[in-house]
Amino acid sequence: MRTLRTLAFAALLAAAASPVTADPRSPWLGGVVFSTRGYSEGSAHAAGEYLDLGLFVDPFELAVLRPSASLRLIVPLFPFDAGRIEGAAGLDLELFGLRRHPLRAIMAQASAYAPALSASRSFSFLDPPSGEWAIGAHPIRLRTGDARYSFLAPELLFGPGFEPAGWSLKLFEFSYLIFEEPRR
Amino acid sequence: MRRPSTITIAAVLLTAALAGAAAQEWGVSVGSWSFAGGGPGPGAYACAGLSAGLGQRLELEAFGVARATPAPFGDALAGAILGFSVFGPRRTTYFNMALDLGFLQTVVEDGAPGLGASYAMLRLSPLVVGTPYYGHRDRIFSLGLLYDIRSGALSATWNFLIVHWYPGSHAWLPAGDRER
Repeated sequence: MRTLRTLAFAALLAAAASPVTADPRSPWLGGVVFSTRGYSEGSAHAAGEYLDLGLFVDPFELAVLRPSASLRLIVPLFPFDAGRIEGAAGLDLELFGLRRHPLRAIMAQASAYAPALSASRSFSFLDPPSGEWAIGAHPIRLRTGDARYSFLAPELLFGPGFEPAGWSLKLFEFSYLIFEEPRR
Repeated sequence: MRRPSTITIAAVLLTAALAGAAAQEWGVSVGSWSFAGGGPGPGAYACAGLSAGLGQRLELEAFGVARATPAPFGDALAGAILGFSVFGPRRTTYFNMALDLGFLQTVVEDGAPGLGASYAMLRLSPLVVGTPYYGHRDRIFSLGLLYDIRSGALSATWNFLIVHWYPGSHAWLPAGDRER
């Protein structure tokens, strides 16, 4: 079992380091990300609609296991409550990109079906240690040359000691690449 | 919970039939929805609908709204909206504003199916980007006033983003311009 895990880990590393680039090609380094979400009953968050607003970098144009990172504000938007705005830092890992996908009919641009996994840590500006960990998935996620579109992305929440703390659901998350990578 | 009256059902079916006969193009919409100060209560809601263009400036849409959080599908509403494009014709005005007059009927309340509160709605979408001609139209930052027809209470609704697709309108594009 241990050998199998070691081999799987080595395969993932090899795939991540592969020179094969993702398609469609993108000259961008990063951009802005926004999403709307809500939290489950029993979570530490009041019922309402929350807006994630932040910046992200997507520096590696890999065909598989493509990482990106983001810094966000999580804003209780409707009803608005400035006193409960939180910050969050996160990592996304795009698993692969599939050009011939069933949703391409709704896209005006060349696109790829690109599901991803995510992990993040949120923190309160008033009491930073009280934040949450989150592990999530983006099962319906499309990538074009200058944007990423994700729909219905669930997250499991964990407290500071990794105890279960409910879940959240992002109705949509759109990321627009606007910062050009200087090397290209 | 009340049962739907025959008149209500007949009115909905007649409206749908008339819209179908007069429709210029069909669209599909998905988006987010929120209620504050009334309606089914705060939370994150998702909406989805079918729209039909009627003339230069009008668009009729039938849609459903379902609670996503904190209790998925705990509340659901069905409704219809007649939207008016303020700045110009829908098909040619890329940046537009929309004014909607709508009706919403609660069909699931606290997890129990049945007819609950009904609402009249006036909604303004200050930024509408895209046209059916290009096959894509987004409503951004829509803010609405909701009137509870039974109790007379007023509350607010909010849509951060509603995306419309018009699949039939892509036909004008040469096949080589779009990768499938």
